[in-house]
Amino acid sequence: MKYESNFRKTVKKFFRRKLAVVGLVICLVMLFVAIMGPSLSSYSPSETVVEDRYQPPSSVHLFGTDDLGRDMFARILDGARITVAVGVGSTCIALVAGTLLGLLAGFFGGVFDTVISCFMDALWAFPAIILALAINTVLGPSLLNIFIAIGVVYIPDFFRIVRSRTITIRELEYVIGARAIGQNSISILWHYVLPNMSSTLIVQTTLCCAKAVIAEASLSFLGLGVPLPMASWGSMLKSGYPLLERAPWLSLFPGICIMLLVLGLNFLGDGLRDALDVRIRDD
Amino acid sequence: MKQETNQEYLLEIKDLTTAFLFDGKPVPVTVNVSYGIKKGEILGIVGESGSGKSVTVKSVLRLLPSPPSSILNGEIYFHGQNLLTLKEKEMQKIRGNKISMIFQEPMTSLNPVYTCGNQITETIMLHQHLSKEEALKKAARMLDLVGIPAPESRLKSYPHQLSGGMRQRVMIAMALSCEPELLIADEPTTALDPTIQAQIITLIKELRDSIGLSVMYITHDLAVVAEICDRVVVMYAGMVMEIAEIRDLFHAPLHPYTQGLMQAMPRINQQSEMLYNIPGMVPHATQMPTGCRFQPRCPYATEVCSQACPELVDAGDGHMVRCFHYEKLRKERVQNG
Repeated sequence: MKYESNFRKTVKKFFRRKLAVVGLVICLVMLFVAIMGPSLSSYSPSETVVEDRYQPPSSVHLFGTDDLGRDMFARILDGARITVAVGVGSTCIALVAGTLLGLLAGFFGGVFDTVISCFMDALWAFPAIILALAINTVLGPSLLNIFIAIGVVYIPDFFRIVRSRTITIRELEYVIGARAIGQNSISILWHYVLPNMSSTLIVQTTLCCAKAVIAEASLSFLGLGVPLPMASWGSMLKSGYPLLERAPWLSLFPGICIMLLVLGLNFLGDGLRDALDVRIRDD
Repeated sequence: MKQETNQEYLLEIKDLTTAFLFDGKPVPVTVNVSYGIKKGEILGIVGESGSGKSVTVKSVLRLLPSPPSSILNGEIYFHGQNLLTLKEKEMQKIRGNKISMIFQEPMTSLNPVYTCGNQITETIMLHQHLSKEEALKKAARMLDLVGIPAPESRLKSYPHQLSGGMRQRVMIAMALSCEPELLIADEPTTALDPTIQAQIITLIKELRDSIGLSVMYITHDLAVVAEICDRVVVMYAGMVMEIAEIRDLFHAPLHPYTQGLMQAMPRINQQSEMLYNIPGMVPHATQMPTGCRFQPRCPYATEVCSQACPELVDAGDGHMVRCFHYEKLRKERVQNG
């Protein structure tokens, strides 16, 4: 009862920010498309019509057709599923693992911190794509393995931020105060340390989503992305690349979609950060 | 020495030596600190910054991070139970429940992401088996007790929406919400302006009278001590220098350091002149002088002071002092009237 009014305030605060609402709408549309997939179009994403190759965008083929005469709009709708899944899935892996390890390492310090920090530094020293490539090669091509490969690559990003924030917050008086009222370490981490770094985490999460989408595109370009019958926006962008002069729309539309998704995520993230931070005035 | 008075203390600290790591080596920052607090008493703990006041009381609740801190020696008895040998789980049941603490900086002592009501009820629900609704009711009662107007609506406020004095009141409400027997107040009014300070002090006194709370009041402000305390412990460089009833301490301080502190206090009935100032500084824990720790700054120091550290002795009526020359100070006072 008491806390509902604060929740409503937060929601109001969020909707007062136009960019946040734009971000939310973009993300919701993307999610909707990802769920509905090609059923939104009358064309099949895999049906090849040889006489319709390289059709520019028109009222018949909204986004044109590709080198095999497949309808690009249907393919984009189809690819949304993979792209969104990879972005969200691998970010979840990085977020959960990185945050957990960062909290523990930062809060308890000691040998555990030293070992994990060294390991994370080592992980960070690899160029992201090389590492994802290596993991993907070892695990073999499948959608789940793409999640894992990209997720693992971004664990250190979360780990470092969370660890340093934890070390700062750990020393603040309200954490000592929490101990003084008899809270245990787990409760302090969950109720005191974690919520106080939520703004940092939200921004990092949306950024990571965006980076994961791009990483997946790079992997696809190298032939180590999602296995072939599946297609993501990244792989479409890359496969359209050699035909850029002949049929620019093959790369243009997937590119625009990736950009929109990333932009939407960033707007949403910024809006959430402002709305959830109780210290930012609501008007 | 004073073992025989054991029973009357609610909490007794005995020979507590706490060390911190300096360059990898543990260096004691408090040495053989011993004092006790009686039920319903307000005990002042006075001393300059770095004298070990906070370290001692944080050791009581075992709030010091280890490493870098470690307790080398000593016992802390609460109801006859040595707190230093308790398991962390058992300690958590004491913190906030039997002994609670309020801090110097009310602006940062509350979790900024939760409402005041949320934080108080959390403390209550942690230690007492109450439903959320009952806890909320109790939280409102506590806010009312500490003099916050419209407590029901204040429960929904976030810490940043309250002033410093209000936040300190919320802290006190939180600290008292489980009816602790002992409240440790670590310079609770230092960061507040004088009118609010007076209100908080009055509040603590009222709570002592109404609910029989014992309070350990840490401060470096002798005016506050005079206002609120029954007995005072004077600390210097990690050692207890003097323990006395408030009247004795102000009328007849027996330690040169206490005397220096008194003289350094501005008085309203005195012509304005240069305030007295104890020469020198508190020595760093790694560079303690030999003998008495106050000896390099002491106007009464003689050769014996640099050779041995005086014991804390009873100078009569439970007035404890750690000085070779306290008789001389007493005589001087008698002569000067």
